[in-house]
Amino acid sequence: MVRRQVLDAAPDTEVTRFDAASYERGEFLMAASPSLFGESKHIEVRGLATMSEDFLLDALEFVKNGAEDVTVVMHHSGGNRGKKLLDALKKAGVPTVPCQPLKKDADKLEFVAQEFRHNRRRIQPDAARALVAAVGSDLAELASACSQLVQDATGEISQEKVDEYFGGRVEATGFKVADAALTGRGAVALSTFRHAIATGTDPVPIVAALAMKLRQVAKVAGVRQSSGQLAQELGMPPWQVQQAQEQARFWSQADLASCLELIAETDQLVKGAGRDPEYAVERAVSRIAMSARR
Amino acid sequence: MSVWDELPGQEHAVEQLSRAVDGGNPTHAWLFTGPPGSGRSNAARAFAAALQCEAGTGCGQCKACRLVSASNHPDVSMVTTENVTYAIADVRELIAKAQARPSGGRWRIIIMEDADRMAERTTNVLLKAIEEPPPHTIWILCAPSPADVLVTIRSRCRPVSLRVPSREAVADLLVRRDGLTAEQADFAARVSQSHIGVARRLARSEEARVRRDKTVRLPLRLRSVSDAVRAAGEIVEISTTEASSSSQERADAETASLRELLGLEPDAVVPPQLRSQFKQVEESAKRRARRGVNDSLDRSLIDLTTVYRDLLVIQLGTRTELVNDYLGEPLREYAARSTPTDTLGRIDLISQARQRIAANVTPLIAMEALMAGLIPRRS
Ligand SMILES: [Zn+2]
Repeated sequence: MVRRQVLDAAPDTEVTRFDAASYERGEFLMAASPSLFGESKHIEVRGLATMSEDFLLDALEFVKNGAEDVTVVMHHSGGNRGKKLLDALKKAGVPTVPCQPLKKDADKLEFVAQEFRHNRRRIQPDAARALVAAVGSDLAELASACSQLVQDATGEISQEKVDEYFGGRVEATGFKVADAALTGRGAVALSTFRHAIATGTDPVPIVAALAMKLRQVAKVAGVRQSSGQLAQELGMPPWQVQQAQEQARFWSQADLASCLELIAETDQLVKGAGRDPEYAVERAVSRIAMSARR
Repeated sequence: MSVWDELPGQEHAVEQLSRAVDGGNPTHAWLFTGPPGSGRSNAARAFAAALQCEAGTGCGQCKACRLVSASNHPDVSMVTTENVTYAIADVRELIAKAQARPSGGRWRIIIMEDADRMAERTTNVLLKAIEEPPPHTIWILCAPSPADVLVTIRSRCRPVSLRVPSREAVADLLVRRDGLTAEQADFAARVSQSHIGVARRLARSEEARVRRDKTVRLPLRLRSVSDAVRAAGEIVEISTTEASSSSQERADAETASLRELLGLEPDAVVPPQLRSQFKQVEESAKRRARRGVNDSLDRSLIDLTTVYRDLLVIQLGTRTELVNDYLGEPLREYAARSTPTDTLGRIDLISQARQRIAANVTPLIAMEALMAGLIPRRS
């Protein structure tokens, strides 16, 4: 946000980023020293929670002396490391912006949408969902994934695009398997699963993905409430509720109950109780697909 | 109040232990056994306090007694494993510790909780240390029953067996020591099934009581899979919050005392060569949080079991008091709508969930399967 303001005000600002953990003496001064052409400087530092000693010394120095035309944004994820620096910053009157981690999927999706909007680009909703699923909840990672897509891909970002860039991540594969199985498309579910295993995917997160999808369907199954009401009550984003409601049409209460049991049994098998974890998951995928009434 | 007063209903063990203390030359290896809730670790701690006591009796008043009771005595180590079993490296470290002379107390005492959680290889390492301990060292191992430890260990330790105290004995202690009314104490002793630690927590914390009440009422309100997965989510979330907040507190305290020990100011930067020590504190906090979640879930599952045992009592017409007596009416209604066979099947499901969680199944997944299985069949 700060970066955007700075760039809007002075488009030729030189942006430098580094990590406080692997910082080496002098980098700060170099980045902040006035350039020949007099552009402003913008420095972003992350990882203050694990800052190196060198960084601490240089940063304290910098806070003491300051510099013109330089904006610095530092990310500290919490903890006591570098408290001296934080205190010095506080004393110098540097504004602090508390950043809560985004817990809800809806917030993460909103963050992704925002990142694209600022770059005047569009991302399809299911692509955004796939991105969040693939990259996880670390905002820094999510932001860098977004900028990678903005820079490398053209046009509206589709789910295929996200898969192409981040598809190697297991979560996305797991959800594909689960979505196919829960809607009774056994052949697709199995072939996706086998492909994932053949390319070295661990079966454990696939079970987690199956469990998560089944949980979402179970939560909405047989509940006579609008998707809006349910979304609020369950703290799920509306699109997720709607998707779960569509999938719930394939399911009876008894089948859901027995598949919840099946998942627990499978989780135990893949975590060491069974000799053939891959077969255990394959069996679960098939049984779920067969239980879904088409 | 003497340290022995903390052990309701254990007159036999107390007599045996205080005789050993009086004799002045106690055996160097002990095995304390008793079912969960019998107060194994309390008994071990009381024994350790009595051994270190400045008055030689376990007076409960002197500095040594108080330090041991607060788990703070430098010569008494109480160890437990946060993992499924003790790591061999940890046991080696303990053995090294056992060689050191006591710093101020009379004995160096090592209390090992969950001594049953040990692989045979690890046991063999421990065995040598127990066989020939330095003259100033006393080992106290705790396990649910003698059969849970290898016979080689059993044969080298003097056995002390504890039993589950009566409800009256526990209630009496709660009145005497925690200042509860007779009614509060009786309720806590009853629903905890005489588990002192649990009873005390219930007596002290409103939150713990609310949580238990919610748990035991769960079966009464399960109607659909939607109810089931939501209930599972609720239970797991409560346990997670509870466990992580308590383990975070402990981690902060440990970090602070490590700083003090190393002579670092609270806000000073940790020099690189010491960082690994701090990292260790953090990691063991994480492990503890994981085990804490499981322990807390296990407690909920035990609470849940009491409901089905009550249902069985009603269905079979046994003349036994209900653990959840205060839910009598709704329980009787529920009991009428199912058969004893159903109830037994559900008790099995609960123990299956406990086993699964112990076997590293994701707690939420295990709880969802259980809750789905507990949904009453439509008649
Ligand atoms: Zn004393």
